[in-house]
Amino acid sequence: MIVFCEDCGGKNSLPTAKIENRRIVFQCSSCAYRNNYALESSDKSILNQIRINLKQISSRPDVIGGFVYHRNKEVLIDFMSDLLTRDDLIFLGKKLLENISICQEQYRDIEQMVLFISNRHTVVRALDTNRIIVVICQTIKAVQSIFMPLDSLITNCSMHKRKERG
Amino acid sequence: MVTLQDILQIRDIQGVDEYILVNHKGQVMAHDIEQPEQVAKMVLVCAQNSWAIAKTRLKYTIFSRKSKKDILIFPVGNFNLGVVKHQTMNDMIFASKVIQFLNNLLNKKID
Repeated sequence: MIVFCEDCGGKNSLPTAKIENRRIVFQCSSCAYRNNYALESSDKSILNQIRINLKQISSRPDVIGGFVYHRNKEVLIDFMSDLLTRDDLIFLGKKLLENISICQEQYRDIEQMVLFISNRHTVVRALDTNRIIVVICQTIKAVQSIFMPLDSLITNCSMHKRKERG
Repeated sequence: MVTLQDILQIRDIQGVDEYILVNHKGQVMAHDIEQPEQVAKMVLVCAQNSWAIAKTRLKYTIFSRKSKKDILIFPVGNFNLGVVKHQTMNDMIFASKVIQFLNNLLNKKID
């Protein structure tokens, strides 16, 4: 089983036998952090994984921050620091989700939307029909640097979902 | 003064596969695209939402696709220009070509 370190986000391969009483206990092979956390429901677990990945992406140079927006539950994860209020994020999330949704209705193979705005380039990926991940960058170089980490994040989520389905 | 025909020279830019020009009410002014009415609706909603977020600071929006035939939407005065690029073209190079084309029209007013 692949598990991720809560501290550094590193990938660790863990024998199933080490999971007891619905808790995962292991020492991270990358940073040696001693992890001890409960196995969560599928959705919580995926969200936790996204949180770890998004935190890393948000700490990259010239990346202002990121958040996850849900159509009904609104802001699920927020790494935008104090730059934007919760109301700002809800406003942004709603508009961006509407944009990518309407475009996906017309073109089913849409993978990503980027709004090129002066010093606030906004990258949007759909996690599913109700959730988007949003990352805001100061430079175009920063935008290009987050494509691969976002690809990995989306792939990890899809793999996780497939595993859960069995 | 810039005419509609000037803007429609967009089709001569290398890498333009399809295009649509939509006014602020969502009416199709010109196009060479499949399902223009549906695409016009999409372009209008995207443009309105993007305007609500960024106002005049928005340069353009790119929708990336698996097919690589990405869609770019540019605000052009009271209009919005949607362009589907050829799959072999690089996004950034293509966008700068279109922006350069649009900038060349800047000194004139759109009819």
